[in-house]
Amino acid sequence: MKDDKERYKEIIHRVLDGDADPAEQQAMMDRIQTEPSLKKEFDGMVRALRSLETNERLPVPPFFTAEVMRRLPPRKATLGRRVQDFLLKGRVLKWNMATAFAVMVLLALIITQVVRTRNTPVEIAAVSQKEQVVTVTMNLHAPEAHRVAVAGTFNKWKVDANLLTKQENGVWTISIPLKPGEYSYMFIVDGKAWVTDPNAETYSDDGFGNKNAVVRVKT
Amino acid sequence: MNRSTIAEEHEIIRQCRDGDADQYALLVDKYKAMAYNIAYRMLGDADTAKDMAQESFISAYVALENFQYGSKFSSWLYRIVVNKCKDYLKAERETVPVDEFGDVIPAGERTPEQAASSHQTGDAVQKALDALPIEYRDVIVLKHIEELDYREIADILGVGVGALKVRAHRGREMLKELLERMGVSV
Repeated sequence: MKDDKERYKEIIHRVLDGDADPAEQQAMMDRIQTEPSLKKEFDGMVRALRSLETNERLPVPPFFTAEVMRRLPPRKATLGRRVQDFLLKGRVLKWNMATAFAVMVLLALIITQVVRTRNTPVEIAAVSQKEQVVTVTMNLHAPEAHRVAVAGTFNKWKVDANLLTKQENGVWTISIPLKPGEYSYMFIVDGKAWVTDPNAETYSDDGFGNKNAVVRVKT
Repeated sequence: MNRSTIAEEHEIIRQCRDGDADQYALLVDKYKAMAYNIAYRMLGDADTAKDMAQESFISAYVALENFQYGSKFSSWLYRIVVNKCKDYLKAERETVPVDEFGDVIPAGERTPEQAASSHQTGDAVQKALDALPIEYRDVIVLKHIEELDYREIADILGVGVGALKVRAHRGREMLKELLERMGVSV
């Protein structure tokens, strides 16, 4: 009798694992109707698992991703990546008059050549349209703050990438060139307080009880 | 997860390996909820779970060179999360003080009463999980809370499916007994 109970206990677990075939399931259901201890075992197990499966997931703490990204150690880029970065990344150029003059002459030559080819104006227009960006200005009134940054989807939530400049009236400001699209962002005041822009165009719920400011950039 | 999603993830990993760290945020965003909740269910403490989950993402990033392109990033990540939690519990076990009877109570295997008094979350199920031995807790969390299939759990824990089912079987029975003793649900 004890062996029989143990066998049905095994079947109960096979049912819970989804491994029991229909015949086994039916046999188990029939057996627990006539054996109260097995029914108690089965019902208890089902309730225990139900309590696990209906247990709510904890919401992820705010700024989880930003904190991970900030703590990532630097990774040495491959040669291909370094070449790509050299060619494509923005940089500040220092000019002098001689260089500027040389560049102007070069541009004049290029433009002359372009005008001769007749097809080029269309390409220029296309390139211009493709690379169109709009300068967006963000402001935060925070006269007591010592440092204000903005992090958002446009800079992968980097907390140090875009720092605002303080004006005499206590308003911190920044102008950022953005391509058309919708961007979420937050201000970071003094490196720790994440502040939603009170003057944002609109807001989005980040799913964890906080609001991200949203800016929509149109052409 | 379909093939195109896996291919997209592999492309992201390739870009990260090439030095484009920003791409990694996409993977963190995608898997942070599950990583954090696995850690929470393993550890029973939200702050520690956050630390362990974040440490896991950072460890995974550092070890991206070792990622095998034939495998799933999620399984690889969850293995790191589970192992970090186990390491933490083992380390904690060595520093837990003795109980009122003078016996050392491992942190990973507290009695239900001790587990109940060690948290303020009011989460009865979590208290029962805290009282489960670690080798049962991991499979119960992955199978019955995160609802992964046994093949993926086997991949994450490095244990065969047959052995996992035996552990799940024993873990379920212990969980039921624990909940009964705590007067919860059953």
